[in-house]
Amino acid sequence: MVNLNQWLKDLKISNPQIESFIEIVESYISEEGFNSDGYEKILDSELQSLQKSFEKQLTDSIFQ
Amino acid sequence: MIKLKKITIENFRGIKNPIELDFSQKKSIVIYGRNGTGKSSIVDAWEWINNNYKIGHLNREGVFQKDYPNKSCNGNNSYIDIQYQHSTAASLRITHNKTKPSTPKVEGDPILKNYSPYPNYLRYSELQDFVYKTKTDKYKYIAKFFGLEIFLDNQSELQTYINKLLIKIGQEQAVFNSIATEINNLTSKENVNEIEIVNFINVIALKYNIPKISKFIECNKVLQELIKLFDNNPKVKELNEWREFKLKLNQFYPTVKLKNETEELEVSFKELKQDEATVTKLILSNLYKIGQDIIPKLENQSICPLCDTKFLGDLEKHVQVKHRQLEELNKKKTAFDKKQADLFKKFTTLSTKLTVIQSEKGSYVLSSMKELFDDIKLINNGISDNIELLTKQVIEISSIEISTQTFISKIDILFDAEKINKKKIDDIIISLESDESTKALINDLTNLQSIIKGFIRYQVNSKKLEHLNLTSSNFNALLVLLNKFINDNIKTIFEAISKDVADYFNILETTNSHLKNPEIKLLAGKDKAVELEIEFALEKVTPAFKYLSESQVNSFGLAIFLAAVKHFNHQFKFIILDDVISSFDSFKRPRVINLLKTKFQDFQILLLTHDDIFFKEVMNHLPEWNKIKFTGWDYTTGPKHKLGKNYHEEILKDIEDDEPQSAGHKLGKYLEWFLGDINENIQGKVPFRRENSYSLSELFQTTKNQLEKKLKLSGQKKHKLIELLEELEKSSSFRNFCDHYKNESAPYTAPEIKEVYEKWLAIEALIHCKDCKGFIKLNTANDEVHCTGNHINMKNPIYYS
Repeated sequence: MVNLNQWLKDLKISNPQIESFIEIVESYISEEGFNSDGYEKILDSELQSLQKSFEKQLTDSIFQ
Repeated sequence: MIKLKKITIENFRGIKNPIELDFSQKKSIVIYGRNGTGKSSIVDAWEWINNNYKIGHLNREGVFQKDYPNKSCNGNNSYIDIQYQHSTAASLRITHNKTKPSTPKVEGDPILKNYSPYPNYLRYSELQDFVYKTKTDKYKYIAKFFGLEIFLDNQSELQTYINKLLIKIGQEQAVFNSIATEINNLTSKENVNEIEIVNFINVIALKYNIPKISKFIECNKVLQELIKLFDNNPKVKELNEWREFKLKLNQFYPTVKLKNETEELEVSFKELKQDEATVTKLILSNLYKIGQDIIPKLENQSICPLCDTKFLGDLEKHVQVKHRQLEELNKKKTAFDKKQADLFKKFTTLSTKLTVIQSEKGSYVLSSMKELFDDIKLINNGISDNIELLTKQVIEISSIEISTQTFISKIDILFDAEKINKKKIDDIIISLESDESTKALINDLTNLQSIIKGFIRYQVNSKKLEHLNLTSSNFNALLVLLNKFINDNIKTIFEAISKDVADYFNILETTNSHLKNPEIKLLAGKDKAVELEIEFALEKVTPAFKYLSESQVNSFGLAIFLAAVKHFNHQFKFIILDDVISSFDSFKRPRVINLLKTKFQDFQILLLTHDDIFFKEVMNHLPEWNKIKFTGWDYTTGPKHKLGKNYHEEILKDIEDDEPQSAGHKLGKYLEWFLGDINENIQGKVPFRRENSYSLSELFQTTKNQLEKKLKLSGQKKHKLIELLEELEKSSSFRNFCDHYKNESAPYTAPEIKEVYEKWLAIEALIHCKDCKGFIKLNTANDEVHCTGNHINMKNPIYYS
């Protein structure tokens, strides 16, 4: 029987266009598989850090 | 390859005392028990160790791992122990972990799991899901038994996550749209882009002869130039100061007068102060209250129980008066505390507002509103000097004199001056704004600052949306791939097992030659649904439900399960079937036995049933199986069980116990069942009877006549089987038995029954194949009579004496 991690590994080989994305998924996946709640928290923190860093980048480039 | 030797279960679900299931010598087991006798606890225990220590149907009902042990054991010594035959391992014991139920204690070698990667247990309820539920549920059933359940769970989690992403995208899009609207309102353009923003900024720059910019990133150049112009233009500066101060003042007002409140507080304080000595005794109020209830009940009222001293007057009245006085005082104290607290709150709020006004730095405002600022300073100092007083206890305060202080009258003046102050500022602003260039410069600076801030927010939100959309698109792509993976697997697996599925279905549905060769079709364009197809009168029909009865869909579901187990678990040939025959009509149940007997000879099977007749049929058709009867269930012991007996064992016991009636009754029923089966096999035709009941003689005669006909060979002597049948027929014991076995008024003896039984055993031995574990059949193609595997050919010359 194929397990989830093996499937993702095979998927990277057959779909190189989304390889980096699958690597992200692999890094967040637990033994029991995807967890929508857990991944939502990760996304929220990603968005927050993206907002902070991009805002700083913009204001720095304008006002310095 | 792995084979089971023994399973022991103790303290698990309905099982209390240990139950041992003996699979030694590669045997299978059939367990009979009425509903509620604990049979299914065995399947639960098996699922527990094979499904990551979870029992799916219980979890769905909110019963979790901590609840799995039998209630009486308090979570201790709840285990399943498996002894097995394997080249490198021998046993596995999983014990419930009371402190961490999700991680049970594992002893021995868990190699067993590697050998049964696909589910090898099927419950009646699961089969019902396949029959009654939707196309989507059928898909889930199939996916589960094809080992794809974890992928289905992930499919569902992915879908949930994608839905959450859609909601998030919607929320971010709303924020983004509102920023865009703000920008569009400033630029009066329909679109937001860098060119429009730069154009907008350049229009302002042009008005003040500031050099144009070509990129948004250069906006600060225009902003700094405009601020310089602003700083160098006193009128503009003044106007800006007044505008900002107007905003501050709008936040300061409304305010409240406080003279009356301070006066009331002072009066209240004076009243309390008169009773200062008593105030400390307020704590005794409750004691006096209790005293009022106790004293009338006292025999000796000359000593006060509250102070333990002599009292010569009316003690009861005295305590009542004291209590009343204290209550009055208490009311006054409460009123004072409230007034004090209210005033403290108002002072604090006012002080905060005043501090904001005092922070004003604008030189024009400060000089023009000098009187106001002086008053504000005075008020704030006054509040500061008196606020501590409002936090003290009555006994700590010697006097309160606030109302007459200047700052209190200034607060009232400030209150009355609201309209005048506001009008004064408005007039100044109107006057300054009458100079268009001043007004325009301020507006342009404000608009420039707003557009810069707005476009930064716009870009940040745009980036967030872009990230969300990319994430959503990636996860959608992943979901599509996962759907495809599952569908492809189901398709591939089904192709691999389709022949077996069709074979098993055809065995279960042997009487309907028009319905055959079922197939599963994944519905095109629908990710999670399947439809069943069937061949009806040589034509493929979808959905099969058009022509299939519920029982036939059951056959389909069972065929899929059995084919999947056989295909995937070939290293560990073990199946548990829990009450699955409940879905089948009684005439179809022997076919389940036939299917197991012919296609799963090399499997160890644990068959659970609550059907007594089916249990007996299994015992007769599969005498080598171990038989267990669950006769009841008790809280202190769990299932009560004993070894089951087949007809042979029961008949022999009755003969031994000299119970001829009981032995005869069982032998009669056995012979009726047996002769009925044999007649079906050899196509012996009994006369039609509407009530469908036949005497033993009729069945026997039909069997004998048909066999005589089919086994007659020219030039050969009499067939051994016919000789034995004739011998039985001629015996007076058999004739007597045939005539009277259902009639208790005409008894027969145990030796008579024994004679009939032994003669019959000789016949049975001749027509039963030990290899096929079945009886002879007529092959209509060549008119031969032999067993399924052709190990016994009844026309072999050796049978003719």
